[in-house]
Amino acid sequence: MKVLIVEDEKELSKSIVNYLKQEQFVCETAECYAEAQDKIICYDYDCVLLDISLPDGNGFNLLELLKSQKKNDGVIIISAKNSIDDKIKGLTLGADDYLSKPFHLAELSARIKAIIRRKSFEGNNQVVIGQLVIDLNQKTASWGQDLLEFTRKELELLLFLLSNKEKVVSKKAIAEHLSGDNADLFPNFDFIYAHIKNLKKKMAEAGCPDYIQSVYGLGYKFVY
Amino acid sequence: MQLLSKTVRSYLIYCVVIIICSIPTLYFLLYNFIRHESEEALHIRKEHIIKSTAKLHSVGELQQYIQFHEDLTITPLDSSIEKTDEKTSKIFEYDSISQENIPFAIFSFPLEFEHKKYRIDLRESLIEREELMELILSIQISVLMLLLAGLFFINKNLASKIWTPFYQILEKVKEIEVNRDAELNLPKTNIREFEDLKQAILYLAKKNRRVYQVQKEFTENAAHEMQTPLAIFQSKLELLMQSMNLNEEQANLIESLLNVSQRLSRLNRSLLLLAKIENEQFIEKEEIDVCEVIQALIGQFSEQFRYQKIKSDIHLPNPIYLKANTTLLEILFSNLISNAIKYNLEQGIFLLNSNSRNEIIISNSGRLSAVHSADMFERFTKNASAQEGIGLGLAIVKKICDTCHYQIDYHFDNDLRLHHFKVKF
Repeated sequence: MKVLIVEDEKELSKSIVNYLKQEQFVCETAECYAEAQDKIICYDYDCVLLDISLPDGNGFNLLELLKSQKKNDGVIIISAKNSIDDKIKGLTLGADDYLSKPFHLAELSARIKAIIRRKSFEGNNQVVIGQLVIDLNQKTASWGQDLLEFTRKELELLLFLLSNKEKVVSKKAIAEHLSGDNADLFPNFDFIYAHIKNLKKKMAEAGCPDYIQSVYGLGYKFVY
Repeated sequence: MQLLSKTVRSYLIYCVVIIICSIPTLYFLLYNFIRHESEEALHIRKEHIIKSTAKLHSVGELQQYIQFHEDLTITPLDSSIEKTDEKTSKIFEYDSISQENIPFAIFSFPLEFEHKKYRIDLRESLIEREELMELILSIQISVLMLLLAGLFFINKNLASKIWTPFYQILEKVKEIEVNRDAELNLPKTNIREFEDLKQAILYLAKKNRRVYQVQKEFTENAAHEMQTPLAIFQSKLELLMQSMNLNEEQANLIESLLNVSQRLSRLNRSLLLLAKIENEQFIEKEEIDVCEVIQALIGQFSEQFRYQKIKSDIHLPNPIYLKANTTLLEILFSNLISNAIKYNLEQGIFLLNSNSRNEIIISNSGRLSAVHSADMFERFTKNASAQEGIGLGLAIVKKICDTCHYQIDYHFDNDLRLHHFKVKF
C-alpha cells in the first residue's frame, strides 16, 4: 500500500514515515507544492496525507488537482488550523478525512487503514486476525463461530488497537479516539482501563487468547 | 432625550421667556410714551386757549368761548388765597350712555383775564388711549404666539429633515460587523458635517476590519506555528514508545513527557479558542433549545458519571429556546459540566436544573469549600488541588457568557456544601 505524505515540516513527515513503514506501508514524501503536484500526476497512491499550508501553495489546490485527475486516492487533510471552515471546505472538495495537528500517529494510522479498507473492500468490510473477525458494516465481532458481545465503545477500542497492532498505543490516543475533543474534559484515563478490562474479559470468556498487553503505565499493545 | 426635542425645547423656553419679559416692558414703554404725547398735546391745547382768549374782549365772550368747548370748565379764583399751578389729575365720571365710569384726565392751568384769575380745567377722555394700548399689546401677544408656533413647527419639520441622514448613518453603523467583508453603504448627504461623519465612520470601519483581519491571521499563524512543533514532539514520543526493550523507568519518563505534551496542546487549543471567541468568530446563530444541547452533552459524560459514581439529577422541565451559536453553547456547558465532575467527590452529587426565569443552574459537591468567586473566572487561576487543570476552563466560560450577553454567577451553599454555577440567558 502506497502513501504520499505532503508535509513541509521535515521532522513530522519523517515521524509519519517511520511509523507507517513498520506497518508495511510504502511511503513517499513531498515537501512542497511543486513536488507534490508532480508526484500526484505521475503516480497512484492508496492514500495521500495533505498539509493545507505549504510554503509554495495551498493544499486545497492539490486536492482539486487530484479530483480533476479522477484518481481514486484516499485523501486525509492534516492541518494546524483546526478550523471548521477548512474542514468543511476540505470535505466538500472530496477529502475523505480531516485531522488537526497535533495528532497521534496511532490515530493517523487507523484512519489511513479505514480509508483504504473502505475503498478496496466495498460491501465486505471486515478485519480478520486469525479467528478474530470484525465486521465493520454490521458492527460486530466474532471469534470463530461465536459472536462477541462488545459494546460500541469496546468494539471501537479493539479496532483501534488492531489498526496499530504490534504498536504501543498511548492511553491519551485511545481516549481521543473514543471521545474526540471531549477527551480533554476527562480528569483521567481510568475509564480506558475499565474498557480494556471488559474487552479482555469478554475475549477470554470466548476462548480468545489474550492479545492485548499493557505496557507499563504508557498504554496498550495488540500482539498477534 | 432626543437631540431634536432638546433643540426644540431650548427654542421654546427662550421664546416663552422673551414673551413673558416683553409684555410688561412693552406695556410700560407704550404707556409712558402715550402719556408723554398726550401731555404734550394738552400743553399745545393750553397755548392755543391762552392765545384764543387773549383776543376776547369781555368776560361774557370768555364764558361763551368756554361753553362752546365742551371739554373746558372755568372757575374764578380768589387770587389772594389760591395759588394755581399747572397740574394733571385723573377722575372717573359716570357715563350714562356706556353706563360705566369713564376715566378722564383733568389738566388744570391758570388764566388771567382782565386782571382776574381763573382756573381752566381741560378734560380729556382716557378711554381712547387705553384702548389703543390694549390693542397694541394684544397684537404684540398674537404676533409672538404666531412666531412661537411657527418656530416650533419649522424647527420640528426642518430639523427632522436635516437629521435624516444622521439617523440613517446611525442605523448603518449599528449593523457594522467587523467580520463581514461587505462594504458599508452609507447614504449620500449634502450637509458637510454629516459627510465628514460618514467619511470618519467609513475610515474607522475599514481600519477595524483591517485590525480584525490582522488579528485573525495572527491567531491562525500562532496556531500553525505552535501546533506543528507540538505535533513533531508528540510524534517523536510515540515513535520512542515503540522502541523495543523499554524498561519501566524509560516508560515512566515517556509517560511524563506525553502528559506534558498533552497539557501543552490543551493549553494551546484553549488559548486559541479564547482568541477565536474574542474575535467573535462564532457568528452563525440558529434557533436552538439549550436543554437539548445539555441533554446531549450529559450523554457524552455518562461514562464519567458512572466511573466516579456521581449521583446525578438532571431536571430540565421546559425547553429554553435561544438564538445562539451551537458550538459556543456546547463549549460553555461542557466546560461547566466537566468542571463539576473534575472537582467532584467520589460518589458526589451533580445537579442540573432549569427554571422559568431562563436560568440553568449546575450544582456539585466538591473537595473545596467556597472558592473566591471574583478571580475564579480569570485566566490561569486554578486551585492547588487540581493539578491537571490548565486554568482556562472558567475563563472560556466567562468569555462566552460575555460575548453572548449571558450572566454567570457562582455561589457556595454552606448548608448543603454545594457549588452552584448559574447561567442566565
